[in-house]
Amino acid sequence: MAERELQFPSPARGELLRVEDLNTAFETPRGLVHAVNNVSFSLERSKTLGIVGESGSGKTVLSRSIMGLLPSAGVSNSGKVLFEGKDLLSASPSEMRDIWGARMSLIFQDPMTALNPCTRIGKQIAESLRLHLKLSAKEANLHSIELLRQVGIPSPGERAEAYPTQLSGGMRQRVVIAIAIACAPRLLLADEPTTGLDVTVQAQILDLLDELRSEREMAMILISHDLGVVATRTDEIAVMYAGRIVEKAPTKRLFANMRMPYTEALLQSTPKIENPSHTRLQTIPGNPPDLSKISEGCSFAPRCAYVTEQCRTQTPPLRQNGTDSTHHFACWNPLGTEA
Amino acid sequence: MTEASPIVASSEQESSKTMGILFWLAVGWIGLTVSLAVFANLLPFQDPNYQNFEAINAGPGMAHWLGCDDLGRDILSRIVFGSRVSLIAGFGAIAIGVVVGGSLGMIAAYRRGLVDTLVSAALYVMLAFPGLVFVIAIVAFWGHELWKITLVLGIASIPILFRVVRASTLSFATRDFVVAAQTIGASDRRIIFKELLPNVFPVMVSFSLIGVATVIITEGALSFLGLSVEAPMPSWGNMLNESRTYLDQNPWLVLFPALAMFLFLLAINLVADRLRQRLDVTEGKL
Amino acid sequence: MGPKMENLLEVKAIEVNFTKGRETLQAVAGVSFHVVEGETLGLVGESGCGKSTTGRAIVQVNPASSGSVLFQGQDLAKLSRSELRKARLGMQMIFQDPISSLNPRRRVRDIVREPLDIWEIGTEHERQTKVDQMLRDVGIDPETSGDRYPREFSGGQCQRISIARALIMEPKLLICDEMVSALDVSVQAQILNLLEDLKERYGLTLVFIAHDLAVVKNVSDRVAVMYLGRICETAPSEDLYRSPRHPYTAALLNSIVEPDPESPIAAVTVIGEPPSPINPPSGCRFRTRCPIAQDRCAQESPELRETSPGHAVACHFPLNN
Repeated sequence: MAERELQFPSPARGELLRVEDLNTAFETPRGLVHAVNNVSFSLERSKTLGIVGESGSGKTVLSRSIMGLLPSAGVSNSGKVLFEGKDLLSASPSEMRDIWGARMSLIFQDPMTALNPCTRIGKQIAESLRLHLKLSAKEANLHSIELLRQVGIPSPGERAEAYPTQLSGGMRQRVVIAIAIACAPRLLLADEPTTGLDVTVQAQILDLLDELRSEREMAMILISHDLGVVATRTDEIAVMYAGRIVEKAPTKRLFANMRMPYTEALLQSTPKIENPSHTRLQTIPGNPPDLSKISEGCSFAPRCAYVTEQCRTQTPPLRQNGTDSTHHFACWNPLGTEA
Repeated sequence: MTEASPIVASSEQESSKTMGILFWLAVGWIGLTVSLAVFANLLPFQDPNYQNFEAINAGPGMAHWLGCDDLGRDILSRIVFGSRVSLIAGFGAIAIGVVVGGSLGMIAAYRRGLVDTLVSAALYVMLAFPGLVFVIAIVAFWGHELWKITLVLGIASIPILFRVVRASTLSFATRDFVVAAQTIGASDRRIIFKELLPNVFPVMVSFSLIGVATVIITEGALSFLGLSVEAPMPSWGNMLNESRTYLDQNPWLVLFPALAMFLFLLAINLVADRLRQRLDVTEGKL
Repeated sequence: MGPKMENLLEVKAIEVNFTKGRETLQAVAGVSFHVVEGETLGLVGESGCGKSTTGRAIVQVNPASSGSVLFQGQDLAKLSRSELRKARLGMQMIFQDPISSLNPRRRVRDIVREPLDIWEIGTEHERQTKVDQMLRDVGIDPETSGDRYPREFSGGQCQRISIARALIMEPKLLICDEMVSALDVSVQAQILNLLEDLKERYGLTLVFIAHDLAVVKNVSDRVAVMYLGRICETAPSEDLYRSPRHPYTAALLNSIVEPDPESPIAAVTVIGEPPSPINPPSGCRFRTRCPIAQDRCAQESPELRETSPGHAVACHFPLNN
């Protein structure tokens, strides 16, 4: 498969993405909404980071901020997003256009709105190839059919002529994935890629993403509200609440040793298939936070079972879990401390 | 475990309190025009048909604030009395349109199926007729008393109001709260009035106001063709029509009726637009 | 167990068709089940299986074109319009989208009061008291929230209000159509617990429709699995989980992602995508994706047959665990 490498500065080591103190706020009639607050993390090449949070946690705004896809009006950004050494927040629109699709791609939640209903799918894939890799129409067509085959669409030659409305939800998502990986990006952001798809199809799509990632040595950020989806398919997990990262650790370690009460509460309120019928679920009392009000102290305090006065007045910083430099959490009274 | 209070506080109400000074000026102007028209007989206006031969084509002055026309009649009082024609035709016609077209629209959108298909077909055929031609034809043959004009314009406005109300109702009629109303045993009539109408009302109101403006202009057009109310009854339309002959002698005869009409239509459009903005926003997006 | 073990609801071979132009979509193609008073029946399946359509057919919103729905022994199709209106009060429905379930232009109190006003139950004062009590039962404070509009509430709170409206006339049967699918996990847990509490307090019988098997199992006594308009398997929840007999049920169970990094990723045992419901496969509708399909499956449509007490499967080659 012909590929031309674009000229880009590459760091010596394996770090692909570094986000430093990212803040994103929106102006709304209700006031300033702080969707992302002081988020920092880094991602190495070929690794998968899972970002977990409920609605209002800021995870979608985070992915858009990293990609630089937010509107410029009414949005304020601060901090750094260093991708292959380059700060994306200060990049010009034309620089960003070189990056989108070619170095960094995004898969959206709803495949129906991500695809143009009036254009055949083969053409939609070819568009990216022609733009970034400067292939001719004929080369691009052949490439698209090959990509459709790689994402598991049967009879790719025929299907390339189909319109998105003629495909099922799972098929459409595969096409979206094909478009996203067409130019072999180094980083793939998948924002709830399986939500809304049938359960049996979800597993297939997640398998596909795994396969493609390891074949192409792509790094991936997998965003989901479902702990189950991220539990088995990620190297590291970051849990978000009210725009902040409240816990971050390698996946296995996170599940083995949760420190932040929200993470545990989230896990416990998920119904499990082994539970007998009429099991009473653990709940998190109260409602998700209102992001237009920046509160003092920990944003989870109103709903936390272990809350103390300190939690209400001081925002806990992200700190290391003892000597483990890979596990961070933000809590004054983490689980596992003596009372 | 009792939930806390609602998430969105009353901050939304505060931001929409400021409808804008322009809005209130427009409302005031409409109110003034309507009040003057209604109470014209009681107010100290000069007789609009009294011809003062000494004041033919007089300019604005102490005796006649806006001057007189070519027959010495006071322009100001003719404008005020003449506004009745525009207001009756405008609001009357749209009232017919809203009541008939609006009801049909809501029923068609709620029942859907065969009822919708038949009613829509009939009304779209009506809509296809060029409205102005239809109105001219009827009025020319039937007569152009004010009530006849109002009725004809009213019927002509039914299809477009049907279409707007139907479209708006459709977006609500398929929602779950309508299904819920059916399951709790609400009759169709109750659903249309209590569930659908409050939701459709904002669109109806703002669109109706635009309709009023359109009808007023149409009445003016009819005047130019000599198909509106007969002299000596004043109307904005026929004042403008008469003024054509005397344009070089008496520019006030054009200026003031045109200004009156312009300001009133502007006010209506402003109110309609602002209402639409305000009422759309209050449907929260969660 | 006594006389209470009658069937509150009996659904017999119902079919629901949707015609769009010349194409007919058989959304429900011969579904039968019963619900005993006081139990919770879960109805589970993926998109397009017809579970929501079945729910709507029961409450007569999209009535079945053939077959019958018996509620408390009465065939609903045979009732007159006014009799039906009354009978329907005994069964209420909660919908998936919390926002669209409530009229945005009416206040919360009025929304919950509506059934009482329609049927003219009690005096003005009695109605108000009942509404306030109902709101408290579902966890909404009537003082601060009663006069507000739905847009001022979160998804979970809107569902609570919908539940209050549904229960104010004290129905016997509650159909929950994907009622927690649009909610966050933590809110979902609250609503499910609330549902259990209310079920006990009001002596409800539930039909719980969802696509999430874990949620359905947690809530239901018995589960029916649907695929492309037909029921594949019916069993008590625990039996269904421990020994699924239908290959589709097994595939569904395999696809569940456990929030446990140690659990192995099960091999995907189902092939490809669901076929279009406009042109379903002949015989057994699942055969195009079934790993153990044979010739017989294309020729003969399997009937729902009991393989052990309470456990019925529609498959020519049921799995043997």
